[in-house]
Amino acid sequence: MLDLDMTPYAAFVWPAWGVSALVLAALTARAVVASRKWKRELARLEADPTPEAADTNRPQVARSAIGPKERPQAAQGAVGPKE
Amino acid sequence: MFGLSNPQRFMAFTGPLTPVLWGLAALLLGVGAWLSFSVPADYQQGDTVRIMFVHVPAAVWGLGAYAALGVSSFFALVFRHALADAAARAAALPGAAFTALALFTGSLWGQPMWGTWWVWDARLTSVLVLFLFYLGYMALRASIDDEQKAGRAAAVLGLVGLINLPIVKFSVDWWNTLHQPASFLTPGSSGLDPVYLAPFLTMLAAYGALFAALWLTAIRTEIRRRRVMTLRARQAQEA
Amino acid sequence: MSRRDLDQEPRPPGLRGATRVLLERELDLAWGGGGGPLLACGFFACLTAILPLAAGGDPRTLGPVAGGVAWLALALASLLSLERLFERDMEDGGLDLLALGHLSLEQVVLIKALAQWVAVGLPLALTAPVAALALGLPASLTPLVALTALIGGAGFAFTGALGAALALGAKRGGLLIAVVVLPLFIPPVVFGAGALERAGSDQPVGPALALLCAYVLFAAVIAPFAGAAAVRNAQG
Repeated sequence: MLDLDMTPYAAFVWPAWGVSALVLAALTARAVVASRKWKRELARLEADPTPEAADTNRPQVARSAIGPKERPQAAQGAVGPKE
Repeated sequence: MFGLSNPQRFMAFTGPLTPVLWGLAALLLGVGAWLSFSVPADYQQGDTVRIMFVHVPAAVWGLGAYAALGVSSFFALVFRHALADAAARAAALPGAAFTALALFTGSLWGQPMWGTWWVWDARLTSVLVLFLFYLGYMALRASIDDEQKAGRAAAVLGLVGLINLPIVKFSVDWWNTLHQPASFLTPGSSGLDPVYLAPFLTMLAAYGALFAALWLTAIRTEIRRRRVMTLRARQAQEA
Repeated sequence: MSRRDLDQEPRPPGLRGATRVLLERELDLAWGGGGGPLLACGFFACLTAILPLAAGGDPRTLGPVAGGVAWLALALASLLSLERLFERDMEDGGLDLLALGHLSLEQVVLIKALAQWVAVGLPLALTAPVAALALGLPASLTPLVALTALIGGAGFAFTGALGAALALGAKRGGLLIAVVVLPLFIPPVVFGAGALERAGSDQPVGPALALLCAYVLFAAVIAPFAGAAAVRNAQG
């Protein structure tokens, strides 16, 4: 039943359908990828509401990432008042 | 409908609906494509009649998307609803893409018929003007930095565009009566052979389902994106 | 100033007075600073000259498109000075004052559009017949060219003002206004140039003129409201 011989119009029919398929597929891909991206991001933020360590550009976050070992002030407290 | 204007209710309602639409679109596209290529060629147009099955649905839904954009813009303006603004924005790219496809496939349909890659007849010219309306809308939205302001300005333009569209369409039709087009063979002007109805309607429904899926998905994405922005802003404040 | 002047309370201008003041101010701004109305005419003349240079000076090619090209040039020339219609006032705070004043923002938009029509549309309506003649339009049609250009110019002014208001605060205002507004210019161009075409083939121009007037009225109603909404959005 499928007659795929388009001569002499093949050069018009196939590009029309081909480009249509491409564009629709691209639209779909874009929509789905964007949807997943933001869904993931939202889920991440809602599960873990504290400031993420991934945001290392902010000095406040970086400071807490260092930990007491490298921070002499905290280390001093760990050592005790005697020394 | 106003029950849906609550974002949470909208998300809950469209959650199960959207995959159904995607599935429906895929199914209808498959069936439509098969029908389009199994139907016999037209005695006048030959196999190029198959281009109609991707050209007209694209044009129809390009217009439908603009209607969705315009109506959403109306609600965004009058009720100042963020969801309506998201809906307007979400309709723009798919609509413009569909319209561009209509132009491209229309050109391919016309070449074997009229011997030129473009014909300034009423229908193609109207589709071109619709495309220009989309471009203006997207350009305006993109050119204003403040998101809220961009949304409102775009809503005004969307609504003005929707009101102007029939007028412009009328003027193009009127213009067409002045200048007889070079060819009098306008595809589809002679009655459609009933054998072509099945593939045509299937593809029309397919494009519609696809637009609906694209549109709802984009609105849902936009809702999530805004929620993320709000959460991030709140975190930055608390930090 | 004598004591008597200082003792008298200044009367508020009232609606008519406020309108006149704003209109005069707008015209001053539009026509001041070199050339006045001649600037738009100069632009129009350049466009008219470029066509034959681009397409050949054969009257057989130019003649049929003379009316259409005149209208194209009209539409483009009407885009001039739209960018600054609201932007100047927005930058120096004048827009806020206007918004608080006697006139509603809708009235302000209306008056600015009218001023645009007088400042740009009127001179163009006088130049267009000359240009059309130069391009080969039959002399008998020149009054019609002037009339349609005058009416169409009002349509361009209203729609243009709407575009200018929408693009307030946006980047690349001039081009953006053009992209937004030119599709909306299509009806007046079609009806106006169509009237010339009809007249050229001895057909009645009434319907075309009526449609042109209808468009202008339509634009005159929409532009103030939509434009005011856009201005408020850009301000707030």
